Amino acid sequence: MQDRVVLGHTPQEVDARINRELLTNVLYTERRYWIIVGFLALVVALAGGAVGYMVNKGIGVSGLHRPVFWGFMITNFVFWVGISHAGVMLSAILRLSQAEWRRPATRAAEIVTVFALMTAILFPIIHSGRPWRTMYWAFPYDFARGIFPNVRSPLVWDPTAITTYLTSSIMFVLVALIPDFAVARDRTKGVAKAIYSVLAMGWRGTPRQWRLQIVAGFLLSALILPVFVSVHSIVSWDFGIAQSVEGWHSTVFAPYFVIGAVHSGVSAVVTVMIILRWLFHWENYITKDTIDSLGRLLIVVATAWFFFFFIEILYSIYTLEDAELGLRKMQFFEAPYSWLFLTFILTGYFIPVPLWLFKNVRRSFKWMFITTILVNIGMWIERFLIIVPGLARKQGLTFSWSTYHPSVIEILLVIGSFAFVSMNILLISKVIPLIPIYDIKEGEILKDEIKIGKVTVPAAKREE
Amino acid sequence: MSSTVHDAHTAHHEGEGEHHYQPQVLTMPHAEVTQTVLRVASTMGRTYKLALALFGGLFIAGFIAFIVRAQDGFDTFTPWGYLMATFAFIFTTAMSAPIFSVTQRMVRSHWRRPMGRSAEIMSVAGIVGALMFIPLVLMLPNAADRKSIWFGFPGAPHVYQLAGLIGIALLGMAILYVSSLPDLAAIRDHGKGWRKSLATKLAPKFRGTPRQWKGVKAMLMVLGALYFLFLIGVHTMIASDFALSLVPGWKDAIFPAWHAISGLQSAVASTILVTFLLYKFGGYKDYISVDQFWGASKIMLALSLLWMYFWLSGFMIFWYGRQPVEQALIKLFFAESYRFPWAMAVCLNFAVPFLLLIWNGARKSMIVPTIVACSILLGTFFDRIRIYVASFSVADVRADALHNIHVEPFLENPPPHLPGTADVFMILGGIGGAIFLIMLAMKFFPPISIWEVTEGMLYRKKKRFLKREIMVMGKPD
Amino acid sequence: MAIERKPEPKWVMVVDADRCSGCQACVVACQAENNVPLNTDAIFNQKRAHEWIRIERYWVSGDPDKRPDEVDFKNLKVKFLPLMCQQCENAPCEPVCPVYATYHNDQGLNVQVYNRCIGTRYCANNCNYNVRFFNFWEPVWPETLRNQLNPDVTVRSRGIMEKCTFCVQRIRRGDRLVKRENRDFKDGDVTPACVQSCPTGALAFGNIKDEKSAVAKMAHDDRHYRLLEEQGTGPNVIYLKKVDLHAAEDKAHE
Repeated sequence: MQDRVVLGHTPQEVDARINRELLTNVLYTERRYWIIVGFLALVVALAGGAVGYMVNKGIGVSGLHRPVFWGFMITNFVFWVGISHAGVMLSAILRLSQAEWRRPATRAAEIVTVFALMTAILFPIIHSGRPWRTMYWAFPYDFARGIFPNVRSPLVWDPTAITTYLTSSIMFVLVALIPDFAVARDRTKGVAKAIYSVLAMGWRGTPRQWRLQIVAGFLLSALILPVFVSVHSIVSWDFGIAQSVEGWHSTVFAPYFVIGAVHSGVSAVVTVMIILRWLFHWENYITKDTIDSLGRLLIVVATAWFFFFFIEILYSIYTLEDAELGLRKMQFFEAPYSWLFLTFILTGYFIPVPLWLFKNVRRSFKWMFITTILVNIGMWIERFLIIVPGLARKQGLTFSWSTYHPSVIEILLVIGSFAFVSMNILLISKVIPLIPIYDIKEGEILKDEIKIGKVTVPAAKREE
Repeated sequence: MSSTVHDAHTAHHEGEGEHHYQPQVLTMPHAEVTQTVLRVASTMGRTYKLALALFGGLFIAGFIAFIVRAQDGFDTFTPWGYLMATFAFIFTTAMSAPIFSVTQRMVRSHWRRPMGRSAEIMSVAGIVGALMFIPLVLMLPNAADRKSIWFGFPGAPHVYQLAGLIGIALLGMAILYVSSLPDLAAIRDHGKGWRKSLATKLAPKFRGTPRQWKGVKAMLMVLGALYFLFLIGVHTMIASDFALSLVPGWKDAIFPAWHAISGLQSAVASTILVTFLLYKFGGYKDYISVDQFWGASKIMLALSLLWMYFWLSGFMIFWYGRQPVEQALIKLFFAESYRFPWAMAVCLNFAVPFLLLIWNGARKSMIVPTIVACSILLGTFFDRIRIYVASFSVADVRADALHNIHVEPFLENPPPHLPGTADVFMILGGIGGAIFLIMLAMKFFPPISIWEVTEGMLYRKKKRFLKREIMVMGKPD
Repeated sequence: MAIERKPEPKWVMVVDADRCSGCQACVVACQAENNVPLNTDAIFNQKRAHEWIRIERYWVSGDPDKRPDEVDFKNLKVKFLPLMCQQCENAPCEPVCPVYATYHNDQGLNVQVYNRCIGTRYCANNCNYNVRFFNFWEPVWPETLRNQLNPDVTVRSRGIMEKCTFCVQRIRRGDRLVKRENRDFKDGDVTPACVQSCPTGALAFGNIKDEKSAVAKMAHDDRHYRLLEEQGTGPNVIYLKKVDLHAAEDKAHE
């Protein structure tokens, strides 16, 4: 069933090959890499220009108006925070539960987390009316005038949770990177060597160092989990606690957002891994088994998410209040929201999940690539459908009802955010191995098989 | 988790004083397992018989209490709050327990093997649950002219509620039957007396051919998936028809999900408790080790955290919403009328598990997880009282109840409704009846799954690796 | 010796919907008094008009079996609802502001501190009445109107929220007046621009703690209600219902 790749016949051979193949991206550069990075940089520059224009002219250049004060930029913020939930979901939970197939996926997931968060946090800042004041208020706090931030506001919880999450995921990545930095240090010269020497923090691979690194990894995994859950819960409370917006004030929002984030995040990791596999020739490491397991995980996550989606709708309309029914009617049946809703529900659940039930789909890189991209299209629209219709139809004072059309600037910013994350992932791949070298080696050593009667069953050595 | 934990079974390693825990690897012949388990399962001691008589008596007393209470009729909800709470307790604990076995089988954990059967056996409590549920369902007014999740479907809610509950009880017992088929075959071949003849009737054809094994395993997967869907669905239905839609203005989407999480948490807790009792008093010391408690208590810890998280997610919205309806609900359920059971639930369902189980040393013992399991069961009991007695005491199912609430919320909070003598007996009777059935079933179905334990023995091997012995674990796909 | 402090007043506005003719004089007066940016065609089409007080107009069908858009004009009735910041007691906009740019002062007003505001627009999202306005653009006035700006009121720059203040500059002037004369507030000490300009006397303003004031008396009128009261925001604007001779027929439409 599982097709294990044989990397070599002696441990030394395996070691050498892993070092060589997984350091490819750090030590050598292909031309197509620079073409891709150059293109992405162009898009990022364009979006940067859009940001500058907006800061210069004012939020007026967006499509926002009363009462739809939040639109594409906040949707995009929620989307990227959602994507950032992949890293911890994969690394921490799978590390704690000792799933063997996690090994090639963890680093990529963590890197996606870090850059998605960095991108996400830009959006609330640039979308505020006076970004320069927001910066001044957020870092550092406005102590000079004796006004402490209003801790009752979810907008204070947000930066707190996100910066905590960002800090801890960077720590998480760095701890896991130390042994790999040492490998890179031993294979580079000059300035690069000096930098890797610092980053490797004197790693020599002694038993004590290994033990400390493992303990640190486990501790961080356990500690980062509550942070991980809190981040998207808090993002959901940006909306949930607003009692004036009918579609937002729902008790289920926190777990609904978290599980939705995991759904989109894990899908994004699959997409990223398939791209990296193609770009850096990692056929031996990112195998069909890996995406098969991720696909199975996705079925469970997606179905749990769908359950929350279902009860969110069910328990919002069961009281048959006019305001709520009117809002849902608009969301589901009135163009353009009806088209968005249809796209979202198909791409977010009803196309990918039935496909994932087939083993052939789960084990096909092409299909997994398509389906996971579909999921993220759906999940982006989902956030939009949560945020905007609720605002457009606020309360019973029908006089102010409105709708929303994004401006070119906002669309540019959204596209730019995707380019920004992709460009960052590619750039960092020149500095760090995106597949954990030591983890793969460990997996190679722990691989084993046992015989039961006539059958040979793949097995793993267990330390505990 | 951490590699610095000390344990008696371990060997020294590299002279650094570091100990490695080795999971228990059973090395007895298969025939011996079959023999001993069947022997233990078919002996009934004096204490056992006494306990059985006691719980049977309680059940009869509870039934009489029900008849007495029924003299006053079923017109008002308030007097039946405690019966509902007891039913909900049995449903959340014993009737949900098979989910533990189902999920663990799906993720192929090895440590669950000796525990799964006792979780499945608890499904027989569904008989008592269904008996208690019937009068309660009949009390519900028709869904046609009021606000409920049924939107006036014909037959709602009675038909669907009953179908759901009886369905889940039957599914649980079906899982028990299919998973014990191979063991029933063993009883048929090696047992004596009525057990043998009953087992022959139940498992006439199982011979252990590869096709039959495949069939059993596929059947278990299908039934398990169905059971999972049913469990979440029935939790949702019960939570919304007996609590949410009875209370005017209560609009709370997470509540059913939270109810289900509470069911998963209590399922693990009751399984741990039963496993401990089997270890201590049941005579299955050889098969149950600290592995089971260690593995299950991790899940119990996670579910306890989730329990609190789900509650907080919902409460946060009401707390910040500050609408009059929300304030009235908070006063009723948490802050004023029912604050005592709520405080108990928070302590026992969250604080105790959290503070005890975060320590690896505590998880890796038998006694601490058992204490936590008892605490969770007690906490769940208080919590069910809080939810259902409170809901029944303000129940207003008039067609326009939800609309009126927007103008005039139920500002005067009802005082807590305390149990009367009949209520106490109904509580004891319901729980006693459930325990009675479970104890009885354990003397027929072997509470240790013989085939799963012996299968586990195949997948775990000890091997020498470098300087020490380690375990190699088979990972079949 | 402790200084004896006079109890703070609590400002309340009463809107008599029965007297409102929808003439929009209050809107213009407010615009002029409070340096509200001009609502040009372009701004209006962007749906970014600033109206600290606005007249919401609702059509009511005179025929109980038909919707307002189905009946002919003879059977069509209109209801006006002047809407300004309700100065909620339990204002949803306040707890969500991260920088305390909006808070409750001791006279029961929900005040906006322009200097603190960073423009997250969260307060506007969480406002039940949609009466908070965001400065999407830098406000500009034609040269001819430069001297019209009220020196007592800040001109708001772009990127911040603003809303009805109950003409807080006039309240401050009243504060100084009663302090100078060492007496309590009485009706007429403070009159916001909209109240001052209303030709039909549909608007009244005053200190509800003063039992002799007009608003205190009107607050107990049989027709009184508050907007979206079931949300628990506790508005400080009291509405008096429109007297409708055909009210019984209209009930079916509500």
